[in-house]
Amino acid sequence: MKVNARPERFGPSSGVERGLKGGEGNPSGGKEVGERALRVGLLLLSLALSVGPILAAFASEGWNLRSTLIGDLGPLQDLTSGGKEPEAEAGEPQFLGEVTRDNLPPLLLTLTLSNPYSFSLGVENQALDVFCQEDNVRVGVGSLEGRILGPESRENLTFLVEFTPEGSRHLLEGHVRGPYLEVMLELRGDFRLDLYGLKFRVPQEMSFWVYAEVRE
Amino acid sequence: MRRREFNWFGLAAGPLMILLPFLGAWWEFRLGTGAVDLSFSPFSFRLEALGEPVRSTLVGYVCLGASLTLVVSGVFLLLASLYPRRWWSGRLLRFGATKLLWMWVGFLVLLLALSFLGNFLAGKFSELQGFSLPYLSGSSTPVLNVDDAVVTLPLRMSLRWPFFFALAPMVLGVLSRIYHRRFAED
Repeated sequence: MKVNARPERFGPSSGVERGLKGGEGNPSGGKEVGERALRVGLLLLSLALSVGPILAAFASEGWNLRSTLIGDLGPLQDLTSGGKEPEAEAGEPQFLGEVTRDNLPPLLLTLTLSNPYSFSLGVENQALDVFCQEDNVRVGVGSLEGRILGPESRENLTFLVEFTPEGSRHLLEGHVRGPYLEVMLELRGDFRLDLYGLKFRVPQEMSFWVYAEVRE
Repeated sequence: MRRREFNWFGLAAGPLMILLPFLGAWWEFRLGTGAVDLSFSPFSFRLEALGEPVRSTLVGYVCLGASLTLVVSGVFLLLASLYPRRWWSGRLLRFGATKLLWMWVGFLVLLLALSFLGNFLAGKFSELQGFSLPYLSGSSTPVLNVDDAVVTLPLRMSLRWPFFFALAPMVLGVLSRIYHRRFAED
């Protein structure tokens, strides 16, 4: 009775007690079988929980390694597949006023930017130097207000070129042929892009012809 | 009549282990302002690149397996702690008590190894010079020269509270295993 009153325990002696309680012929046999079954069961459970999910993942993707590792890359696909690049196209420059022998008004230059990607691209505020390409003289600054280019879109951006007094003088004194101002200008500097907080600075040199009648 | 005995450490650790997979990410990585957002724990994985989710079936299933493993471990730990003198108690406890310890240590080692590898590779390739990753938590703003372009990559890593919360069931689990010896020795 004393033996029956004791709680069960594991260890070598508990099997003897269980055996005696149950009145089995082989006192430790039942527990040993149970322990072995438990050990095997836990081993199988460990295997199922570690290997099972991996097999299930491959099976659900038709045993395709690539799609099992990484499924749909989404917009990243655009960057990794190559072939797509943003393009810029300069339009006709226009002076904001009359060009005279002693006055060179600011100039507007339309830039059409295309975003071929399926994600937005941010164009940051820009301030690029403007040079007279022939003489390599800095004549002003071209500024651009930042804008977000939507996915797969084309946007017209406008550069406002403002000439410095020295720059105006250089252009009006050196590049007026007959009644016309005729010069190739060049925008130089870093073009700044923002891609979800990643900042890109890409050196740019973009030249364009300026042709305007000079009034007296 | 003898008073009923419990493994108190296991009784505390079990429910916490069952709860842990549902508490969210342990670690977060953020590149830019949504260029790459990664939230990660052994039980969950969420990756967003350029505002869109990127899914990995394999990682998803592995996380599911880890969640199930921990829930089962918690249940086993509870059962073993409620009935510490049953013949199966020790084996169930051994199954459940240290799984979380290995997951936690493995997670830590993985994160450290990734940062170490990133920094090692940065030292090997001239294009990656200036690139540096913090270890586990912190922020940096590497500036890379790719061809002619200069790319600035503000990145931030942070350990979340569930990572620290996991310490509680982990330590209790280990203690429960040590404490359980008394039931075998009696």
